[in-house]
Amino acid sequence: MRPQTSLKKFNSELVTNRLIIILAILAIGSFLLSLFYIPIVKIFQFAFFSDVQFTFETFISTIADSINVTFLAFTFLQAFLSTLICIIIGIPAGYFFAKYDFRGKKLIVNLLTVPFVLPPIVVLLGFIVTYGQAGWVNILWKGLTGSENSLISIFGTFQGILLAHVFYNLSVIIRMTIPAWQSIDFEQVEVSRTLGVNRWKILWKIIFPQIRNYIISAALLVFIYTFNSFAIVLFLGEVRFQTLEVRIFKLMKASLNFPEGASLAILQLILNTIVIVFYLIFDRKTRQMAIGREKGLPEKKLFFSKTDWKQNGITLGSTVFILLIGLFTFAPILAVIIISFKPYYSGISPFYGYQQLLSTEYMPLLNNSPLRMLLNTLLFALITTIITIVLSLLIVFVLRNRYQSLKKYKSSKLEGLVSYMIILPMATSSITLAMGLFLSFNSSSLYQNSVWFFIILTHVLISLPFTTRSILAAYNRIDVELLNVASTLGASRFRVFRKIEFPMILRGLIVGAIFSFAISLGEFGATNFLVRGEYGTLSIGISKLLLTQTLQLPATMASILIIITVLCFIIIQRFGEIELKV
Amino acid sequence: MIVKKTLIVLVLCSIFIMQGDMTNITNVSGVNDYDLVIYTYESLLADPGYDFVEGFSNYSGIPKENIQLVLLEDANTIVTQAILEKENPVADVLIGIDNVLIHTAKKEGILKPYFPSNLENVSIDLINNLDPDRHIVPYDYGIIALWYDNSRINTTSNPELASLTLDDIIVNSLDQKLIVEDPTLSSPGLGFLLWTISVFGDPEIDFEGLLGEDWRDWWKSASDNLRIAPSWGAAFDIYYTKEENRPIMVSYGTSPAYDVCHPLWGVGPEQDPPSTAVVTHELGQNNAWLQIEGIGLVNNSENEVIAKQFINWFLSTDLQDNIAMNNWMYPANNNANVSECFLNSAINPANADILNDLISPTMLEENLEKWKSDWETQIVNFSSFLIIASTLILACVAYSIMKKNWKSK
Repeated sequence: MRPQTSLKKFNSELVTNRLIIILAILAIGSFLLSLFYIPIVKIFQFAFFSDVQFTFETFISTIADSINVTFLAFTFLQAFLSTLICIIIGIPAGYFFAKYDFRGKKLIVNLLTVPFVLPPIVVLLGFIVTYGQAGWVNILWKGLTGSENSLISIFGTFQGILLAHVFYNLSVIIRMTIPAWQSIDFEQVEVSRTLGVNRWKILWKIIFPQIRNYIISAALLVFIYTFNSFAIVLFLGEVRFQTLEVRIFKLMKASLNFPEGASLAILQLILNTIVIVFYLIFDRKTRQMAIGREKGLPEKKLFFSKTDWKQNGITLGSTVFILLIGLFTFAPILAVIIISFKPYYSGISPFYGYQQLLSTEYMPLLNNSPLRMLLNTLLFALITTIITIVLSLLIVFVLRNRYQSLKKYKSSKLEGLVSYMIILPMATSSITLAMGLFLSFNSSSLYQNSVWFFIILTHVLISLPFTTRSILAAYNRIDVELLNVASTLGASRFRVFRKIEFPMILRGLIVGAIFSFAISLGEFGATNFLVRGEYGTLSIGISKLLLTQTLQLPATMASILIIITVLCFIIIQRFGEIELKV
Repeated sequence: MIVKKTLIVLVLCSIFIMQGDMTNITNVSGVNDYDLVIYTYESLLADPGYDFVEGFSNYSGIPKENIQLVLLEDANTIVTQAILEKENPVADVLIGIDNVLIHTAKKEGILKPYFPSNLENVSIDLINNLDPDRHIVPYDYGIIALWYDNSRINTTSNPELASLTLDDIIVNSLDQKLIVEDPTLSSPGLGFLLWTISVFGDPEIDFEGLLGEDWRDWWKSASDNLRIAPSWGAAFDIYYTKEENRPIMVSYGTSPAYDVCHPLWGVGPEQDPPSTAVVTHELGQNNAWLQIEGIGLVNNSENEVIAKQFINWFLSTDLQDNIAMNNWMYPANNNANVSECFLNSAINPANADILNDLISPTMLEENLEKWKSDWETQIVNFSSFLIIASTLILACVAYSIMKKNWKSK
């Protein structure tokens, strides 16, 4: 039995809490409604209404159009194959990192993750200078073999797109399978080994079932990324290969065929939602599996022995394997930085790119000076971060308010609604986000004059799921009893937040903030869709200069993005794990 | 604590910067504060470069800062951008819409007909071929041509170049050396597509063309080997990069003049020309597609008076004298200066059999969109086998996931 007074206080607390929750729901709801759901409805309108008449005709004829079917098949096939290759290379690499201990291991694992956090357009530039016709690999190949033909051609070819996707996403698989290997119950393996079960059977019957869910959720993640790939396919695919994302973009921007673009966007949204739901199911499973597993794979030292030649073979083999992966991962990034210092014709200084950054020579082409583009990029990222953090804090409060554990408190339907409301933005591609805003606001004077506002909004919508999950993960570690005790002892709602909740989610908050900063920094698809006039960012600048001969300036811009992103990444590493997940 | 303080400082800083930016934006937001806004493509009069904004500023006395020049990737983008802003136009003048894009532009009603007073110096054929209603008026013209680099490919290495036909390109595997522009994105690319259509014909609409075949077959055979660039500029960059091994591109009949007469890197008329432009010789004719580029007044433009003044000036010899040596096309104004060097190295449209007359404006208008999408279908050679394969993979994956899922439950 509680004392009467405490109950009274509790009741008034409950009311305040309700009020805060309702206000938060109103804020999130109106934000998502006006900037996400109404634009999505607008897309539906274009797909399903001709004039005011509801019809499936446009939608059906778009989807049945043979060329769209082809692009759908391509989108699926390249995503599937990219994922498959990533898995084939990534799982052994994950095993290697889980099993062997050696100096600098953590550093190498972290460095391998760098491509994943880089902006797509930077990855693309690095890829072109490394593997393009005039790239390092082909020049080296021609020099070595003396042949006229190049080793690999990445433009307008299937393998070019696959290679770029593997480069971009390999680290996701490696990072996500390391804990999988570490979580294996090794005693079972030992037991079956003593019982004389053969190796393949152990692998298939004992090890595989334990890591299966990890692999599937990592694979689904890579699938989502590659399925929605934009920048890489836009530039490398020429016309022959288009993902749905590229196709929608071209329909919207080059042909102004809004109904067809809208229909494809809806198809893509449905497919994405299915994959995301699967991903969330498997992700929950792996999280459950990870709890209570401490044993894991015993770590081994990697060394060269004077007597044991088999050990030496393993050591050498693994080292070469990892070196190759490292080379594959780093060559393009290094290439960008080196190109930024390489004069594109003789007689100019190696710092030409950096000088150009301060000049206005490229202004007509870029619609703005490179310096202003840098400022735009940083400013957009900063504003995005602030808005995202506020919104995701509100969402976290609605989803996890401290009275949830008490029997008395029933989570209202509204709160359930919020948790569903944020799944759909996760499944929405950046082009679809941009096109929804574009179709809804394109004739407003706000859009005509201050498109930066909409660019920032798409960045917020893109980074919101990441940030929310990062804060949520931190919040889940708070002991709810602690909050209740504080409240019973008379702490006000605000005081509880300031003294307990805030300090405990701070790490998650910082990781989330930096993540949203990094996402906004390199965002290309939506920005490229919306951008007008002088509001371009560095990504846009690079994309405009990407196909020219004067690679020094774009490489300089890309180097700046690389440096900032890597800095962000280092800070994230200091404060906690990077959430690679959606 | 330190984190908290830095956060506060960051927020304060950002508010400060934002405010700075806000005032900046309100200043700039008056896109309408400009006396004149011009949309054009990025290479207009760009090499070695004539600053026409300054030229007009000197002529009219309007300060250069009050004229906004917006450079878009291609003429196609100029039209789409203007269509998107139809209700609320930003631009006053559009430069670079050609004799094909004008059909889209007219259909969307983005332009207002205007008769510049000095139009009498422009040949009436040119005006009527571009747009008889004068929504836009010609400022330059030239034929689309295949342009190759003599040092890497020539009539000695490839004798077929001397009397090239479109079929020769396939037969002699020249498609492996050719760069074309994407006709859905680029105007010379679209010109070349129409070239192939008027040569081969289109049985689907009972259009004979020159040869009475199907243009789709040519593109289908070539599709695996071509490089397709998004714009003329991107195509030129591939052409220029020796490692790409693509010494032929779809360009203009005037392009060789660029290599010979360019004030900085032209070799001069005494030397052998570094590059050659060719037309195709089906039925023994010199077949080529003529591109006419026009300038026009935007419907509901806010600065109509100045815009008209600008168009008049753009057709006057003051500007037209610079067309040949900076835009590398024939100027529309008959009185404009064209150097001897230019005339000797460029293909004069008068010496070519112009294919444009084969396709009537109504036929073009009716079929343009279909032709573009059919072109895409030819290029995308993704066989149905792959579609089936991907469906099968999808089915298998879905099935196994489902099965495992039920089992584990």
